[in-house]
Amino acid sequence: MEYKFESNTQELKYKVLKAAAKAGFNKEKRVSKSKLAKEIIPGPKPSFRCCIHKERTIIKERLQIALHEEKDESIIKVIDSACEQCPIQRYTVTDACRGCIARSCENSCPVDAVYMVAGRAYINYEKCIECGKCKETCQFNAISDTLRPCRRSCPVDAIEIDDSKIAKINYEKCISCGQCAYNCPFGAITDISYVKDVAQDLANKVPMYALIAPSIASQFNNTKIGQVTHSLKKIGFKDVIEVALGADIVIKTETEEFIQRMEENNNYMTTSCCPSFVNLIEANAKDQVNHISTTVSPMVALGRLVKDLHKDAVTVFIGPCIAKKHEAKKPEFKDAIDYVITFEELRSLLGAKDIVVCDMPEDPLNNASYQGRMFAVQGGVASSITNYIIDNNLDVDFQPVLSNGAKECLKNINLAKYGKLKGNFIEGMACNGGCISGPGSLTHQKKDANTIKQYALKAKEKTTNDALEVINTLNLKLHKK
Amino acid sequence: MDINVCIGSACHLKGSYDVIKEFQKLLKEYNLEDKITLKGAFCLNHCVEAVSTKIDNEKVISMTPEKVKPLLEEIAKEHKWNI
Ligand code: FES
Repeated sequence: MEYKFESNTQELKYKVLKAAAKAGFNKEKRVSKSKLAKEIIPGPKPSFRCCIHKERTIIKERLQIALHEEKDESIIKVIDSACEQCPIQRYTVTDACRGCIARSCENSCPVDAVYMVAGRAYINYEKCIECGKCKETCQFNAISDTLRPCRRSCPVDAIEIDDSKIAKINYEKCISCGQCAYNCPFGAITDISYVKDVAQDLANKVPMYALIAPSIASQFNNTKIGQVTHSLKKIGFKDVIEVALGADIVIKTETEEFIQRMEENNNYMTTSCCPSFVNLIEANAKDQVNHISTTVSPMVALGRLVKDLHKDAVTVFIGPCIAKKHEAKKPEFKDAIDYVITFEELRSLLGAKDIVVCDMPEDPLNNASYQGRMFAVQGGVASSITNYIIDNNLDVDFQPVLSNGAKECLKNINLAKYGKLKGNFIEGMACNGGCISGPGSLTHQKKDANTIKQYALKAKEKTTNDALEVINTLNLKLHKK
Repeated sequence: MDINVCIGSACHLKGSYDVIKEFQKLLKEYNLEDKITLKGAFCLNHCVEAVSTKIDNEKVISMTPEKVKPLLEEIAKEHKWNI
């Protein structure tokens, strides 16, 4: 099937993941990475790098990660050979500099790091403090900001540069949001993959359940969700279930928790569904950790429900999120979720089986309410709780504050810490716009939010109460503690 | 005895919630709650015959709310339960 890729790096990743999935479906024990690398980079001309040998070496490293052959279990990894060692200086004077008379750059620099050399501005990097004043004042736009995309995209400053200028992740700071992996133009940062393991289990007829995140609605262009559902059943999943049903369970549980906390005079509570947001608080505001809702995430709630009803079920969460891979590995959630794969991996899983999604018939997908489905969009959690409070005539003062992206999350936590938050509830989503723009998504477009809304409106059940009417959650552990 | 009513998408759309509610109501009425455990299930692989219902891990039958009453009466008769 001819997919539209957002970028060549996405396409390359697709090819690598697809090869890994194929190996899984064929139950291959020992996979020859050299052979696969040759298939992916046939040559003789190189496509992106200096020569095919370098390209194949990189592909082999990519395959190592895609095949889950790495010992180290960190979720996000730098592929050293793929890192282009981009410049580390942040500001560079370009050819557009005319050595003008005004010399605003020189005059605006607070540390005298800019001066004229041979009729052109020159930046002394020993002195430069990267304030950006020279760039701002240059009327020719002759100074460019060449901050590395990985560093620019990282909201917590976790990307460091080693002596050979290769990016290194500081895992003490990293919140697994995956923005660097999505933003590196050389595809040199990637996430750990379970696609081969999933394919192998499917081939072995293990009873697998696909738990699919609501942002699925905006993923495949010109395709109906029902076609994706059918495709997943065709490659061997026993059922495809909306994680939005887990979200409905969370809405109810989290609202009850919120009410109780307010009765206990807690001054605020935060959401817990976004794993990067939770990691962010744990790494940067340890003293606020007790304000994180103890309610489990929709993924965990649904995983437990499925396993409660089907004792032998193996659960696979499929979503836009890389941080979910981190969450699922936490000892306290291991019972709920067996594998996490992204939409990128889903596409390669289907590709490996030559499934043309847009030619498939449609199977229904309808497990959750409108409100549960809206979790994928920024503001969705808060509005669902508001609606739940109204529907149930609950007497509580609920004042949500939304945080769009990791930086805003941190800002709101700090406001709350000092008693300056204008509200008593923080909705935190580490990706701008919510889960729909997660790093494992296939598309990142403005219209995606609307697509989710249209899909949410098609839910048979309108409210959380309706969706949970017959769902028995008494056996489920819905709190972390 | 276990009764599993499918709440998978196909069955849900065809009204599994109504079937479950009918079961809940009648199990109470007939005082069978300690004899029969009513549970949900995800797809039982009989989507065309929705609403699928599995009786005691054996056969899967197609249910509607109307069929609940005769089914329970039959089961009770078979097991000689007084309802
Ligand atoms: S959804 Fe009920 S049998 Fe498939």
